[in-house]
Amino acid sequence: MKRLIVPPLLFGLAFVVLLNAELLEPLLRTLFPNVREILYARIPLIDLFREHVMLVLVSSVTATVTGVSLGVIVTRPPGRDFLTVVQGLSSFAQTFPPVAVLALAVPAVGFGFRPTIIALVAYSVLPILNNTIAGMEAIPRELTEASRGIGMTPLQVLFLSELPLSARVIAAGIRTSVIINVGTATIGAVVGAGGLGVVIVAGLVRDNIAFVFSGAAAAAVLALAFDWLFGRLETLFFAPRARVSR
Amino acid sequence: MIEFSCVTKHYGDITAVDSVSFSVEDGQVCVLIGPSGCGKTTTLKMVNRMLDASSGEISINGRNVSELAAEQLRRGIGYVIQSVGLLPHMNVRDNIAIVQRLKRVDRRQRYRRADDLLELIGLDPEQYRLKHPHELSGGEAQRIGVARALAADPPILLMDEPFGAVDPLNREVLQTEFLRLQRALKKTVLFVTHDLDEAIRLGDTIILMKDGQIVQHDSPERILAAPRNQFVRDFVGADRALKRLSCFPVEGYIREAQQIADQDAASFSNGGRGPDSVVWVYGADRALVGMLQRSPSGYKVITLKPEEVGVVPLSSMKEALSRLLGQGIRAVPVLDQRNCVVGEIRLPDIEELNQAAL
Repeated sequence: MKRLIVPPLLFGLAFVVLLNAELLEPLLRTLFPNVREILYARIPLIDLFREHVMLVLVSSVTATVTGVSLGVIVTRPPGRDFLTVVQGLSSFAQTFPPVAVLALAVPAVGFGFRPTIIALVAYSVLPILNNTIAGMEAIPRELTEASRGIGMTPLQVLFLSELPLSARVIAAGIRTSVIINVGTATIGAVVGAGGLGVVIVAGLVRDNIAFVFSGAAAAAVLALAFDWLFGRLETLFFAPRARVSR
Repeated sequence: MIEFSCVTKHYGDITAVDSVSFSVEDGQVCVLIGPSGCGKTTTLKMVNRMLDASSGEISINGRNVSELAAEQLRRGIGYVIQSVGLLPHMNVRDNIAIVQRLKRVDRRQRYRRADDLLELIGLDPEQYRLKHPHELSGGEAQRIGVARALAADPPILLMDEPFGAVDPLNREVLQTEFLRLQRALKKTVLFVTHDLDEAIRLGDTIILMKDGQIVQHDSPERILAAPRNQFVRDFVGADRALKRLSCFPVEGYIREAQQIADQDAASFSNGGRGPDSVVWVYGADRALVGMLQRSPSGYKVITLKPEEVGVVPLSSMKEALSRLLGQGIRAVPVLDQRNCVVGEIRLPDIEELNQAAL
């Protein structure tokens, strides 16, 4: 029960602090006594936070749709030929630093939200794609055979047996990529996408460590909150089986 | 009725099934058997178009299967496979009801059907309907696989080594169960196995295959008594006399048994019966608990475990013989579902049955 009550309380507290950033002042003063301008005043922290959440949500949903669809396509008989190509491409995309993707995307789509989303999606599609492929490949052949044998159409095999069976693995991939995105989204500030990165970048530019700290801390709390939420959702959806198997 | 005419299946250069023709009459069990790679499973899978024939025609009740959409065809044919293939994320009831779900039967109706089927295969719906597959034993899972195949009440069943992954003792129980069901439901069954005893016991006819061709298609008795060539003779083996006993359920050879309540056992005196007769002893609920044995001081009760010594009416005479030999007793009790003795099988009857044929 403790796990159900304590984290929401902590996250709630963090949210209150976010709404009233001045509450942080005493803490920051003690941590960084030499910094003069301790709070980022130009844009309220909560607005940046909202932008950040938007960046993460849009990019993660796009990455999920792309990753799962690609994973499904390359594990179908007609798409199987592309399996290695797609896996290679997505690994390649992840080796690319997101900043480099930004630099390439800005000339193409301009400043702001869109290049950041492109960079985030490119960077976070890999865990989802890989887990989708792994989840699909781990399904015993007899099970899909049996599903076909009792009269399921290919789509029914996918939705009634394959996806439910690999859901747990796919969900783990989504969880990883959302967490990655929360951190990586801070670079969006460089091209004017807003988000918590704005505070961090301002801190770096003005050599103000208090700014950097508050932006980074807020992003970290957001990452923890997402991770906790996913953990809850997983136990909620997948627990019945885990419980009986004990 | 299932009809094959000149059906051939190629895999590249390999001919897995080579111009095979046969038919299975309504309500009959036809067993396909042969060494691995003989094409028996390929033959079976062409019926519900899990595989498509390269040439030739397969028809069900006069309709060519290739004219039907594969999914529609499969929903009308029960399919049981060795690995069972229950969906692990669904409970037993949803697994049984899945074919009806595909056929868009409404939920209440298909759940009721699932309960009926659990009853039919002898599993308590209350206890089983919400279990998940991983909570089931191999035998239970296999029965539920059969229930799933029966859910939409298809006239035809395809069974691909359905009891192959079950231990021998449970396999015998499942075979008995199958015979009981088949007697009640009269499905047209095509059954693949590599176990000759199973084929002899369950089949109305047996098709022995080799290298994609039919070597002999006959009744179990004929296969054993008149093997067509050396291959069949070798396949059947030297113990065909023993195997032949699998053809006969014990129900036709039950003799009246003498039995007595356990509290009366002490005062038992042999009422002029011959030394060959066995006296079974039953307990409070009339279930078998043991048998009487003569000792110098009169009679004493030997405790028996019903499931170890007893057979049921649908067991084969071979089982009866193996129990006789295994337990070293002169007769085996035939038991009903509550383990009450309904009669006994005696060794002379088995010997006589054997001599009648050879």
